[in-house]
Amino acid sequence: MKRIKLLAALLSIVLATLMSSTVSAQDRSQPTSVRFYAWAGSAEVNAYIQWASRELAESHAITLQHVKVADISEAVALVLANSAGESDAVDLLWINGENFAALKDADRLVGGLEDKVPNSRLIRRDLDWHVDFGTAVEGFELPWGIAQLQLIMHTKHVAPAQTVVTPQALLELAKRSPGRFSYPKPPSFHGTSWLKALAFQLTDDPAMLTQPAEPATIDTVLKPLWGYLDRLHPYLWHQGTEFPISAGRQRQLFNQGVLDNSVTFNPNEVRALQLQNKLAPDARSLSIGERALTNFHYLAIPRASRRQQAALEVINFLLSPRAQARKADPQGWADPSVIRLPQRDLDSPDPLVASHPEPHVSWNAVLERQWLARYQR
Amino acid sequence: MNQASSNDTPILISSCVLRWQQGPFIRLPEISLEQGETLGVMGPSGCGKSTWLRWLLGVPQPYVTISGTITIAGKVMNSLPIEQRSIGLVMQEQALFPHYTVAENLAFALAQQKLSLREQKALIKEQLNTIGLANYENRKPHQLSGGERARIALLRAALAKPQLILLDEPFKGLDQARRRQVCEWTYAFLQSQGIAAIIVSHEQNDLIDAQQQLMWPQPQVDEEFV
Amino acid sequence: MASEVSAVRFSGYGVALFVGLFLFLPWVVGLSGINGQVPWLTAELWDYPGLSRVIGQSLTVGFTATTVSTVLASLIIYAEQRQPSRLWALTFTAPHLAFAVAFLWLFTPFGWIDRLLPGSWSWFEHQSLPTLTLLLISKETPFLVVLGRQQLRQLPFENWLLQARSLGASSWHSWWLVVLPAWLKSMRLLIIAVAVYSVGVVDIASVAGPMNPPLLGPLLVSWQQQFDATTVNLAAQGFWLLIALTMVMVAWVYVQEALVRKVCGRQLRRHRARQPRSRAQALLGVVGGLRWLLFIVSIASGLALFAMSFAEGWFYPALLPSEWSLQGGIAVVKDLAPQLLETLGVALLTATLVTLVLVWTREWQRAHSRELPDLVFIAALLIPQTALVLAWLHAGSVSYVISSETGAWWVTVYAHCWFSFAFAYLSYAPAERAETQDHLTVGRSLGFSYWRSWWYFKRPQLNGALMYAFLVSFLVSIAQYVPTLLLGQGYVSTLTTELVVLSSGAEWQAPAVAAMLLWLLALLAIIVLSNGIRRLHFSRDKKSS
Repeated sequence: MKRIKLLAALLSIVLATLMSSTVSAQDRSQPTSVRFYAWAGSAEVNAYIQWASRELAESHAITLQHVKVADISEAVALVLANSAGESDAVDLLWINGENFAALKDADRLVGGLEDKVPNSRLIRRDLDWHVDFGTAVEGFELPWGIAQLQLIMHTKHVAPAQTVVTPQALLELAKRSPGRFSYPKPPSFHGTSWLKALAFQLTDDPAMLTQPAEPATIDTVLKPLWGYLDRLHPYLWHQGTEFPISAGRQRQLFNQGVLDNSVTFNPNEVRALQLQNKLAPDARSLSIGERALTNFHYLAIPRASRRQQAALEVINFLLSPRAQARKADPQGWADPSVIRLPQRDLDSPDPLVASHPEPHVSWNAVLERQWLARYQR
Repeated sequence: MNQASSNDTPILISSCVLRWQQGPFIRLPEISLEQGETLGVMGPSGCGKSTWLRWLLGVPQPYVTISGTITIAGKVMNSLPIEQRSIGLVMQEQALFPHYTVAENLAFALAQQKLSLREQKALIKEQLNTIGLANYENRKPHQLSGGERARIALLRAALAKPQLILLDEPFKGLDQARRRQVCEWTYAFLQSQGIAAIIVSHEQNDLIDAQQQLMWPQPQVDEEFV
Repeated sequence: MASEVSAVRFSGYGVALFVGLFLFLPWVVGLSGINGQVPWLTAELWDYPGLSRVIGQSLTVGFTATTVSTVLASLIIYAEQRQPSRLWALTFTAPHLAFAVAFLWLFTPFGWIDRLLPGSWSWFEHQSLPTLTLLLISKETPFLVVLGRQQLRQLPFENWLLQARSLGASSWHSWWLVVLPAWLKSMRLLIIAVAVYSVGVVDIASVAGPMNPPLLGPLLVSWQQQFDATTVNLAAQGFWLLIALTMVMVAWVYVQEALVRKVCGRQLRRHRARQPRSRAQALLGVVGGLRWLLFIVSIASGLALFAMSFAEGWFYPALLPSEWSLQGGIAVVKDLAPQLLETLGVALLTATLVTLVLVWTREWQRAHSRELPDLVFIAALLIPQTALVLAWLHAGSVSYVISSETGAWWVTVYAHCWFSFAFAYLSYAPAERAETQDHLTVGRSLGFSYWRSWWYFKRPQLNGALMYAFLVSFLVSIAQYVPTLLLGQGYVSTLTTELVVLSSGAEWQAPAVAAMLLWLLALLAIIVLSNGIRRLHFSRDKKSS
C-alpha cells in the first residue's frame, strides 16, 4: 500500500513536470516572453537580470527569461546552427568580441538598432563603442556596459596612493614573491585582453597595433612583449607552466590565498565585491600602465527571433537611466553606465581611467596563436 | 595414482546429528569406508543431504546445526579448513571452471604436487587418454557434452589425491542412456583410483553399484524440543 | 506453443518501433550528422601547440584511472565478500563536479585543511594531472564496486570457491585465480564505460585538470566554442582524434583482461593451500583504510559544500567565514527550485521509461529464446558522449525538432533514456537471465495473459533488480550535462546544467548550493530505493524460512 502511494507521488511529479512543460510551451505563442541568453557566473548579474525581469513584467508586460549559460558561445552556436529561419530559442544576447563577429559575419543579427531603440540617444558620446574588438558594430548591437581591464592585488604589494602598476614594477613584484602571481590563460577573454594591454605598454610604437597585423612587422611589434613574458614567467605560479583557466578561476585562487593577484574587466568590481563580502578586504584594483584597455559589452537580437519587437523593448529598458543606474549600483552589479546619469553623485568619481584604443582585430589571432606556440607545450 | 595413501585407516564419520532450528533432527548411523569403497546415500531432495555433504567439506551451514566427528586416516578433520581436509567434491552443476580450458582445470588440481610444466602436461595428457578423452586439453567446458564434463570433473577431483570424494547428484541432467553409462564409468574409475567416495542421489539406479548403501533417515521430532 | 503465443504478442509494431527508435535511430541520426565525412587528421592538428602532451596526458589519465580503479574495486570486492559495506554509496552518488570542487577546496595548498593543520594533506595542486587522476579514481572505484558486486552476484562464485578449495587451494588463491578472471570478464563493458569516460573526461578535467595544455576533452570543448575557420576545422579533427583515443582505451581494457587471464592461467598450477596470511592481512588493512579514507573525504566534502552554501566572506587564511548567512543559502535554494523540480521530473520519467523498455527488451529476447549480445544495447557507452551528441546536433532532423520547446524537451528526455538505458541494462540483464521462465509459464497455464503473469509471477523475483535498474537510470539522468545542454537548447535547465553555469564565474555560494542539492537528491534516491530493496529481501527471507 505504502509502495503504491509512493508510486502515485512519483507519477504525479512526472505529470506535473510534463504539464508545466506543455504550459510553458503554450506561453511561447504569446509574444510577450523574451528569452535572454546571458552568462550567469555572477550572482550580482543574475540578481540584476531578475530585477529587470520584474520591472519589465510590471511596466511592459514582458516576461524576460534569463537563459543562463556558462559561455555565451553556447548561444552563438545555437543561432549559427539554426538554418531553419524563425526560431523561438534565442531572442536576445549579451555578447561582444569574437562571438559578435561570428554572428555578424554570418548575417544572423538584426541591424539598425540605433534607430529602433529610442534610448540609444542617451549613450555617452565620449565612448568609442562603435568598434567591438576591431569589428565595426554598424547597428547590429548596442552597448550595455563598459569594461576596463585592471589588475586586482593584495594591499601588501601596493603603496597607499598607488593606482597604476607598470609591467616593470609587476616583474619586480613577481621576483620578490615568486609563485604568487599569474594571469588568465589566453585565449580566454581576459587572457587575450591581458596580452593586448601588455603589448600596448611594452611595444616601441603602439600605433602599429592599431594597424592590421602585417607578417613583416609582427615580430618587431611583439618582440618586447615576448621578451617580457620570458622574463616574467619563471616567477609566476607554477613557474609559468600552468595558468588559471579563466578570470573567475583566478579570483577564486586569489580569495583562497593561492595567488596574490587577479584581473577584472569591471573597474567598480573591487569595491562592489568587497561590499558584498565576496572579495578579500585587502584587495585593490590597479591599472596596468597609465592607459587602460577599454571595451564594451553589448546586447544584440538574432534575426531568427520571432519576438524582435519585445526584444527591442527590453534593450530600450536596459538602456534607460533607471536600469543603467541600478546596474551601476555598488551594492549590486556595479557595472559602469553607458549613458550619462543625471543623478550621479559627485562623491564617486568616474571610475574609468584614460583608455587606449583597442588593437586592430587581426592582432587577437596573432597574439593567441603565438602565445600558444611559445608557452603551451 | 593408486598409491594415493599407504595408510590403511578407514574413513570414519561418527555420532552425526543434524538439527534444524525449529526442532526436527536426523541421527545418522556411523559411517566407515575403506580405501576405494563407495557409499551411496539415497533420499528425496531437500532433506539435508547436500547440507550434510557441505558440512563434511567444512562449509558453515546457516539453518542447521550439525555435530559429529570426521576422522580420515586417523586424523580428526572437524577443525581444519576445507583445503586441508583432503576431501574432494564433484557438483551437479558448474562442475568445472567455465572460463578455463580442460587442461587448466586439471592443472589446478595438480598444483600441490610440484611438477615441472612438462611433467604436468604429460600427466594431463596421459590421464585424459585413460578416460577416453584424448586431445581435449584446449577445450572449454561449454564445448563438452554433459557426460564428458562429468568425467573430467571426477578426474579433476581425483588428481588432487583426496582421501574421500563427495559426489552431489553427479548424474543429474544427463539423459537415461548416457546416465547409466557415466554412472558405471564413475564407479569403475573410483575403484581403479582406490579413493573412497560418498555419492548422493535421489535415484536408486545411480547407487546400485555402490558397495555400501544408506537410506537417508526421516527427520524426527524430539519430545524435549516440542 | 508458448513461444508461438508470445511471438504473436511481441511481433509487429512493437518490435519495429523499439528496434527503430532505440537501436537504430541514434546511430542513423549520428551518421547523418557526420555526413559521412571523416576528415584526415592534417598537419594543422598535429602542429597545434602541445598536442603530443594533450594526447599523452589524456591517455595517462585514461590508463591510470581505469587500471587503478579496476584493481582497487577488485580488492575491495574481495575484502568485502562477506560483509559488503554500504559506505561506498556515499561517494558513488556524489556528483562528479560537486565532489571535485569540494575536494580542491579542502585539500589543495592554502585550502581549508592546510589552514587547519599547515603542511598536512595539502598535496594536491590545482590544475594538475595527479589531482585529476586521483579524483577520477575516487569516483570510479565506488562505481565499479557498487556495480561490480551486482555482477558478482550473478556468477556462481561461491560454487567455484568451494570446488577450488576442495582441490586444495586456499580461499585467497581460489578467489584470485578462479573468481577474478571471470568477474573481470563480466565487468568488461562497465570497465570500458569507465575507460571511455576517463579518456574524454570534460567536467572534472576543466575544474581539476591541467590547462596548459588541457586534456583532449576540455580542449575539444574550447574549440567548439570558437567560430573561426581554423578552430572549426580543429574541432572537426579533434572529434576523430578523441574517437581514436577511445578505441585505444577499449583495446586496453581487453588487453588488461587478457593479461589477468593469462597470469591467472599460469599461476593456476602453482597455488598453495596455505593462506598468505601477511599479504591477506595487509590487503584487508589497506582496503579498510581506503574505505575510511574515502568515507571521511566524502563526508568532509559534503560538509564543505554545506558550509560554503551558507558562508559569506571566507578568505584565506580565515578558518571560518566572517559571517554565516542562512538566508543567503536559502535564497539560492529558492532560486533553484524550478531546476530541482525539472531534474526530478526528467529523472523520474527517464527511470520509469527505461525500466519499462528494459523489461520489454528482456522479455522479448526470452520469449524468442534469442540472446542479442549486450553490445547492441550498450553501444552508447563506447563512444564519447560529447562526440555523439555533437553529431546529432549537426543532423538537420534533430536541429529542426529541437527548435521548439516541446521538441527540445522530449529529445532531451529521449537522450537521457538512451544513455541511462545502457547502464540500467548492464545491471538488470544478468539478474533477469538468472531467473527461469517457469513461474511465468505456470502463470500463463493458469490462464493469465503474458504480462499479467509476468507481473504476478516473475516480477516478484526481480523486484530488487528492477529497483536497482530504476535507481541507476535515475542517477545517470540527474548527472547528464552535455545532452541536456546541447539538446535542451536552453529550454531544459537541470541542477547539473545550472551547477556548471553558476561555476563559470568566481562565485562559491550558488554553485555549492546547487552541488549540495544534487548530491542530496542522489543520496535520497539511493536511500529510498535501497531500503525498498532491503525490505523486499527481508520479507522474502521471512517467507522462505
